[in-house]
Amino acid sequence: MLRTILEGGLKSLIVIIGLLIAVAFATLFERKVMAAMQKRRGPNVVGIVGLLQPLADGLKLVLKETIIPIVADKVIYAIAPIITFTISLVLWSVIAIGVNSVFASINSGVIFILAMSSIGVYGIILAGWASNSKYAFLGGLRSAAQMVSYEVALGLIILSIITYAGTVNIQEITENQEKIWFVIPLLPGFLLAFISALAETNRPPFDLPEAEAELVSGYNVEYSSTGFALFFLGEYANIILMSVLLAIFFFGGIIKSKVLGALKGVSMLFSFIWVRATLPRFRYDQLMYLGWKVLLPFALLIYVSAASIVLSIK
Amino acid sequence: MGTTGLILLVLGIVIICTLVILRSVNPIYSILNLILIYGCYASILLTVEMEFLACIYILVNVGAIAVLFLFIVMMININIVEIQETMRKYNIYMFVGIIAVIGIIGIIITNNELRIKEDVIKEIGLIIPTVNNIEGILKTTIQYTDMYELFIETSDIRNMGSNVIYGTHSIWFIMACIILLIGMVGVIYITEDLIIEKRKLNERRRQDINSQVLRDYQETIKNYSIKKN
Repeated sequence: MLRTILEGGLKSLIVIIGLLIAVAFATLFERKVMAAMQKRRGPNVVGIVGLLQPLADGLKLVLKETIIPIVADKVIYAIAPIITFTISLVLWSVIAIGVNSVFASINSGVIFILAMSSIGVYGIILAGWASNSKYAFLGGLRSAAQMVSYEVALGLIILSIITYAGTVNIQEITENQEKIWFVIPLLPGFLLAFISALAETNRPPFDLPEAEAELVSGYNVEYSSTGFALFFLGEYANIILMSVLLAIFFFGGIIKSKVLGALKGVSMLFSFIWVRATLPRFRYDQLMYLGWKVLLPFALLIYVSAASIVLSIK
Repeated sequence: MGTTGLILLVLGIVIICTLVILRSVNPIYSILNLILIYGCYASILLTVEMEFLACIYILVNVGAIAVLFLFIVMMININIVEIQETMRKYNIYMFVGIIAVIGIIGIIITNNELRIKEDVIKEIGLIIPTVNNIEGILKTTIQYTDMYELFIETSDIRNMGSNVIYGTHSIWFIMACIILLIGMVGVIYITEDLIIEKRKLNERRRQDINSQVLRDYQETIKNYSIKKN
């Protein structure tokens, strides 16, 4: 009993620490890449070529004063960032890092990821509501509506991958791509999944919830210090997860060769940042139009065609 | 504490959450407790090794339905005094709920093992000794398929679909689909009257281009000769 608890704790600690370091350097990576694309230097003061910048940022955030608004619903206000952060950690438990090093190898891993990421909406919508501020509330509602509507398209694409692979186990999906990566037969699906992943993680050009010009900072306006840090960590953990998931579903997985796997994940992350540096923001009605009237019918079409191809081959 | 104890504990949480749902003044708290109840049911499904069903349960109920509830409740402004007045009629259910909580705590304390169905049937036979042969009657009349065994045997999703949903129990699947369809059509039918009335109101103001174009010069403009007195 004690041994299993200790073992599970150590395992989860490894995953969490690795993830936190990855998140820290993802923020630095983003700032450096953006700077290079805009012909700037980026952070280069703290540490060698700015390598310690994320640590300094994190320290600054934690040392700041925690402010709870007097009109806020204090319990939910405290719970909301914890939900966001916890869900983004839980999602990583089913993703295999090595051949045998996976925290929980469950049969229906893809379904688990879909279910858990649908819970992730609650952290944002509750944060917006509990802050009792108009900016935060509007940002939370926008964000939740956006995530729910783009989840449908993403789910349909993942469903077509499941039909192709014939399994919902993540490792088996990886094994099925030994001959050919799924990005080749499912190229339109990959493009759609990439767009939906951008919208799911509230990244530009779909960063309406954080539209600085209109809503100050969206759902996390009232948060300071550790609460804000938890939102920030959760968001970036989700971004890394999405890039790793895209690498697993379309580019043959990350287990086989560790260097190549890491390269796949980082290149997906790079393309996320690339889009941010390139494209302007959507208007909100354009965003909803794109989600429901363009991506969803296309995703349905791809799913039907994938299913019919699989059936006809059998 | 084995599996049954865990299930009973989760059921106790469910009942406490139900009480909170009924008593809480703020509807947001009610919905959050509803989500907690969904989570409890999913964990019960996990303890009996139906992980696929648990994931689907979370995906559908928490991820889609409860988010919509939360959205709607957040958007509308609800008068708290009104809620407190309507709450009074739930007091009787509160009483029943408290009795249920006490009963579950009693079961946890007294015996950890849930009795299996044969034992229950025997016990009913012991309680009512005047009716002869009750055991036989119960065993012959009650025939049910054990869904749990069916799911455990076919834990693979493909088998579950081909054997249960599209196989032996396809009729129930079709019935559920029809009920869903009836629900959707019914809602549209109920609200249709309102839509039609609105349309009628709009029709009066609407510009009828066809009749405007078809107006004839000869018919619309008439010359009258007026006699001068």
